[in-house]
Amino acid sequence: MPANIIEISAILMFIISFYGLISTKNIIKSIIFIVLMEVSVVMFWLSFGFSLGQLPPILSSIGGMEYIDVVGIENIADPFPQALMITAIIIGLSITAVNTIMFITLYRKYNTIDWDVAKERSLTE
Amino acid sequence: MLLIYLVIAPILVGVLLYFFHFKKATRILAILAQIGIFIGSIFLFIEARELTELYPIGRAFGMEGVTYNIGGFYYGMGIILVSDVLSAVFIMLTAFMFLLAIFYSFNENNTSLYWFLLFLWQGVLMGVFLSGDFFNIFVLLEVGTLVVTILILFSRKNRSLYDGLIYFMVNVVSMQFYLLGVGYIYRYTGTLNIYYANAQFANTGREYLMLPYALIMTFIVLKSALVPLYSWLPKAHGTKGAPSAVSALLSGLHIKSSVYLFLRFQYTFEIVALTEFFMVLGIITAIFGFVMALGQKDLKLILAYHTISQIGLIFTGLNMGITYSYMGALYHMMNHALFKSTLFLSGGIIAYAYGTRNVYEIRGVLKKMPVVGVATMLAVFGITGTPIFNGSISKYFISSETYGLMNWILIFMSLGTIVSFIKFSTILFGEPKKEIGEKKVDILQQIPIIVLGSLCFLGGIFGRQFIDILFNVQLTIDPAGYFEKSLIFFASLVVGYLLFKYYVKDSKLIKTAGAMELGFRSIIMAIGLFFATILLFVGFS
Amino acid sequence: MLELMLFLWIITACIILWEKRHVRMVLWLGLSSFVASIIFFILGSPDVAMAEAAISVFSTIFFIVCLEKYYTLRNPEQKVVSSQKNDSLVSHGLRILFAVFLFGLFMYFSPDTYFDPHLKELYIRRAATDVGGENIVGAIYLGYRVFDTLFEALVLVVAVVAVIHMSHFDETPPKDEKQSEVRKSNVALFLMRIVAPLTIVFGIYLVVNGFLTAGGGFQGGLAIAAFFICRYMVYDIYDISMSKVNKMEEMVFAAISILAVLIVFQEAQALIPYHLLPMFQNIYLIAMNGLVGLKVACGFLILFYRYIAIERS
Repeated sequence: MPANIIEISAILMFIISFYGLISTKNIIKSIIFIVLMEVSVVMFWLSFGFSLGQLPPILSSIGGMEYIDVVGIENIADPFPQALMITAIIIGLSITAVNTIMFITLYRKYNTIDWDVAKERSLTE
Repeated sequence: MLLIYLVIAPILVGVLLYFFHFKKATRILAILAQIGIFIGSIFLFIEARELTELYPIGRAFGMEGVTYNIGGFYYGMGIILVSDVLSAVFIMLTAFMFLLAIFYSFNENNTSLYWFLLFLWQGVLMGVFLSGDFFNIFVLLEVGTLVVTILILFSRKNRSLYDGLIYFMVNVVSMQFYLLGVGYIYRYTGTLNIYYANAQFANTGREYLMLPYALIMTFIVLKSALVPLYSWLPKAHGTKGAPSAVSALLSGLHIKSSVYLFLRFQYTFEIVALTEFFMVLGIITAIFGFVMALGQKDLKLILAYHTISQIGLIFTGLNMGITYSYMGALYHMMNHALFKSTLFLSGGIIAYAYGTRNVYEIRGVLKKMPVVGVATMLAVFGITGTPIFNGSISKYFISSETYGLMNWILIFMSLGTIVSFIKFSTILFGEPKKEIGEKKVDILQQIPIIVLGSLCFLGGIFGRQFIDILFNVQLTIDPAGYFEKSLIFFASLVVGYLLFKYYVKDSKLIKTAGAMELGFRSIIMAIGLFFATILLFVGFS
Repeated sequence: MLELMLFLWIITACIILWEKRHVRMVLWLGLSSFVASIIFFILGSPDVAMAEAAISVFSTIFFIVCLEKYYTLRNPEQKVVSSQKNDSLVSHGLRILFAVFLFGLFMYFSPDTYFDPHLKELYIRRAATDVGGENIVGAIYLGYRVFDTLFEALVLVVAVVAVIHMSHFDETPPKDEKQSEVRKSNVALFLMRIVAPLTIVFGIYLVVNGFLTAGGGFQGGLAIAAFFICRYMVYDIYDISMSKVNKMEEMVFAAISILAVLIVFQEAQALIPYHLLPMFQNIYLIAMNGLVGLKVACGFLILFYRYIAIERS
């Protein structure tokens, strides 16, 4: 069984976004669910080694290099996933921007927001 | 140090080219830069080949070879670039193919944006082949997906936005699966370096690795376009809006990066890795691929579906567990890059000259454009496995130690390839039906095709030597076995021709197979189903 | 508190499944991402929380502008064409069943806690001396993994290029009667007069101080971009030439990569005498944060501007 409640909710959100992607016919909704899927993966990464009340990995909040052992390593949040997830969040925003632009251009051409109709119209031209 | 420049130099050259809009100077600068990159890749190859070898069992693994720890930090804290002989060969192939693509696109009316994207793409592919870090591969592939999406929607008049949207969204969803899998890896081993993680996996139990393996392999299967998750490939590779050089590079090079990642990850996860599963998947993909290819009438779509078939063949060869098949599959990856890009490039010239991409309408290429026609013939000989061409060498190696049912399956796959290329080469013969104007074929566009076509021929005659030079592995060809395979080839040729004439041309089954197409929701559903399947396989085997 | 926030996050996402009106869907998305950013803060990652909060706002803006284009392009008399057959109840049930099955698979196959923290300890102890500064997260993505940050900046560049290439545009943004109503609204003007200067000051503070406290180039850049977007939306000022900003963005990207290559990749730190090392590290961190912030700000400014300036057919 998984470790903590954050991981469970992250996976739950991943599955909900996945369900949204397989069930909706609306292109805008699909784009929204991709954003949610990406947030859920970020949440999953941040759940490692979690315990309540962890300090952020900034030396001024810990108090300085000497206090690391006083506070205890397990009471400081893990900096590595945070650095990676900032990258992932920015990438996610770029993806959203490109997705919405492509949708608008698709809409202008085919005049539909439905996946199946767009597929038919792209095949018949 | 060379490693980092191989990745950064194309990117900086691309940014530079984006700034300058002078037509001729930009392109000459591009060619000079590309020649420099190619020379650099040759140096890397020479050095890597001295340092590493591809063991007979095909263990493409280990942090051996030319390594570079970026920033010189304590090991494991930074990102490491590694090049063993396998990566070095792929990097040389990348530099070479991009050089030819630049020659091909030299005189086309391309904006500076095109050169920018082309060089960025090259930098990303170099990074994928060199990188030794899971998250680094994620970021590189995100850039790659974006760049390819813009390139396949490049022509403003002909672009198909539906294709671009499907390609982009499906790839983005698969990258989320990958990122989730990498999260599990970090959690259980505390490192993201591919090689250190493999060392750590020996300490963790098998049950920790099932979930990350399933997630990452779902991603790989989607990127390599194997059977349930192949739908994006014909849309991306065969779309109307893509310049021909882009389609050639996509089918020739980009898809090989996914197979390369498959090799790396399969050995990273060797404790839980499934081999028969992928072999069977490869067989299904190969058969499915050529059946769908037969149902198409668009030139590029035939080639795109056929790429799926060949990647299936490569996966079959890689997973049979026999050294000769493994080396044959690796050599087939190189060969496929050569002949498929020849076909795409010449297909582009033919489509431009005739004004249509419909295979039923184009006739008489050998008469109208002899150089292009001959190069296409050479490539067709290569891809079908005509004796003394390179395709036959790699197919011989894949099937050299197989017996019984497996042998018949491989012969059947070959037969399928032959039939689909008989259909394709109908464009070469006959009288040109339409009145095409005197569109002079550009000499610079012909050079890459001639080079590639002749490499198809030379790669066959000197096949053993090429494999020895490239991979440092000595294989022997048994003359009797090779002669027997040649006879089988000619028999298949006859059978294939008869099949084509009397069955395939009017078959309803094939026509409906060709028109089958999955919608977005079904593709995502297929991703989920495949993930569940592979997880259950790993979990209960 | 944490459980409440998690519950809110999941519930707002589930509401999107049943919501039919587009604007409401997007607003629920914004709310969900914002709650997620609060959760990130509770988890002890203020950097990620700031980035996610800014992103949730930017995403919502992109979606709302996208919807605005959609609603204005749509012919009101013409019904939106949607495919005629609705999904049967059986297929809906199968999908839900499959999703539940996948969730069960995840829960079954993820074994107990096993987290190996040796890398975490290495980073916490060594970041200040290896790279400098006090923000360990910033030290990681500007020092240890600057190769990733380089490609992330590249993703932004390519996304901007994609948006420019995919849309039709004209350089002069459209002046529409309906839009100027928002800009003349007194409430908006009043709020902007107070909020906008705070935004840009905060953005610059985040960028420059990112190596000491939570923050950094990305978060600060987003705040600076927000300032310019506010300025456009409320005051109707179009004085920035987009092609110049585009050039500047590319140059900043080149500068980032060159700086990264020179300093990190060439291990220039080894050449600096010991007593100058902290100052050198601080200058590097401030410079990289500044460049990254500038790059992010330019990128999002161009993105937003292209969105607004999409020509109406």
